[in-house]
Amino acid sequence: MGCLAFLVVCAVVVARTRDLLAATVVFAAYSLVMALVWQQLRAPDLAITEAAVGAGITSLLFLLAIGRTRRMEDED
Amino acid sequence: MRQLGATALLVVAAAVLFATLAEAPPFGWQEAPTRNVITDRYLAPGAGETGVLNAVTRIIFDYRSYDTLGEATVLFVGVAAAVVVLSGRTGRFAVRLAGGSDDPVLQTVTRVVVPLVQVFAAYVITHGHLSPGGGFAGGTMLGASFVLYLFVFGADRARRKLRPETGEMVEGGAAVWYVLVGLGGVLMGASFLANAAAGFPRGVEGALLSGGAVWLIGLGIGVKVAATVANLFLHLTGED
Repeated sequence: MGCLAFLVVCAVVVARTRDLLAATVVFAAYSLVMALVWQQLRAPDLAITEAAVGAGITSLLFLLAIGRTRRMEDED
Repeated sequence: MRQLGATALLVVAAAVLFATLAEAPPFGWQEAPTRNVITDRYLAPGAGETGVLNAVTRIIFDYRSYDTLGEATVLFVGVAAAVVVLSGRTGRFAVRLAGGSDDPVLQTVTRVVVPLVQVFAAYVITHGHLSPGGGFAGGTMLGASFVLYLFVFGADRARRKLRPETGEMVEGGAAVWYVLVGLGGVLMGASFLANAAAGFPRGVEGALLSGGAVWLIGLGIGVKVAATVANLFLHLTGED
């Protein structure tokens, strides 16, 4: 239950923040906890993939994409 | 006024969704309508007709192998699109990442960690039919170990370890390998991507070399995903 609450808070923070770098870090934390939840739901295959792809590759990809564009979202 | 209407609409939609959820069968209920002859056959305990112990791998590389072939294609197209969109502009941050790091702590830790990650990735790829994981998860780890090397030692050294042309060749070759294994089924008188029906040896249940075509396909997918990840980051940190 605590894990699920953490996921909801993370999701809201990712959606609300204007700092894309911070959003990426929070999103990685979301994926890591999501991997724990998959494990608890007895889906170890998904847990491994979520940890490798969600927390690892996706975050690095976002990081590089931010590096090539802008860090802050526009105010409009 | 418009915002009020939208909020009301959302509340109604949420109420409908929660009402539906309340009527849903409980988690893991044996009598659920979704549990029928298909589920029972796919999730039968033991290696069964495919020779694959891991039920997830059994489904994605045998029963639903055709879907996975499409998935591999989606991956390829996605990477191609990302490279096209992002490779033109190089920000300062990306250049700094591509330059690597001089930090001795980072470099030493990377030297120790990368081989360990790669051994574990090889284990996950080759044991996909026995334990959790498989080609996709293991391939991602293998690719991630290369990305770690790239970020710490810089794009130039990483390019010497794996030239982009070689990476592209490996990626395309692994996709062709998947199709060839599938055509092997046709050649042996069964359907495309057939496994046990085509006479691929199922092997001893629980042995490393078992599962027939599933093992071969898993190996191909592992190599392909690793090459995909490595290629993507090589392109995004390069000058071209």
